[in-house]
Amino acid sequence: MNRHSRSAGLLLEIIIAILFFSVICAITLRVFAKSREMSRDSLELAVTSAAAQSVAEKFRADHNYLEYVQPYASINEKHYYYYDQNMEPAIQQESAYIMQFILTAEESGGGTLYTAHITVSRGNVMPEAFMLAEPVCSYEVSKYIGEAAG
Amino acid sequence: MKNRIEKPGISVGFISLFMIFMVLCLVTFAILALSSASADLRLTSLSVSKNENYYKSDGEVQKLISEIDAKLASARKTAADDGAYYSSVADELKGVSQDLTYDAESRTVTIVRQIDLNTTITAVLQINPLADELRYSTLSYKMAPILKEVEEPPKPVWKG
Repeated sequence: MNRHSRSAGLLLEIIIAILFFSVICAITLRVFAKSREMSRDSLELAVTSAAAQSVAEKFRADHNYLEYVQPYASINEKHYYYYDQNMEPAIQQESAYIMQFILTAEESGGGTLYTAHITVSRGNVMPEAFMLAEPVCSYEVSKYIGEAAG
Repeated sequence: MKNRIEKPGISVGFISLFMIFMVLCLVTFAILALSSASADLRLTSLSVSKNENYYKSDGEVQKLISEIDAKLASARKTAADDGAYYSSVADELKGVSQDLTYDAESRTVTIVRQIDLNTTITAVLQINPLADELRYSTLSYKMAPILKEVEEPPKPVWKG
């Protein structure tokens, strides 16, 4: 009799423990999933920001950049660059991110103020559907180039 | 007298203790993972936001420089000599922006644009004379911290 009640107690304890453990597991798994999602978002933001910054800094620092860019990226024309998951340049079919580069120019009395609008969005989309892609980070960088006095 | 021989194996109570240990481990790791990921994301967002503010302020400084250069170009067209040119520049630059100060003595323009609560972009331009082909030269272009005034003087802790 004593042995029987002891087994029943153990069984009841195991059942209660499994139930409680399942509930805690369900809650903690959700927390782990949320943490993983946040880590992924953080990494994505960091790498896309670094890629956009790299283009922005090249645009600001390199005086020949406009000469390089202008034949391809004429003023007010949108240009797109594709990147894979590791932010390495990729073809559209294998891309995970798309970067939009728009160059605008504003003439002033002494020179031209160039502004580059750089936006990195998530998704493998065609340039026409860029508006549908989810933007991750965006920078607007200006650079003034004065004309020498004549 | 009854001799009870305890058999080795799982006894009542051990399961509960083991479960409590496992639950504590799971909850601790979950909290650590979440706080670490959250701090990481906050830091990255802050960094991106700082970059955005920096490029925005830098763009405004560049725009100001373009306005100054336009004023210099128009002043050059009408000025007969350096004296007239500099006085014309001083008049022209008066109402351009609050971020701009012109020092007539050293003929320098200083632009101070606030990026955030603690940092500014400071650009110092030298206005060149009429004979120079370049209308201005950039003496410095840098980010600088805003030095906060100390309200109370530091109190000595120990006097030797």
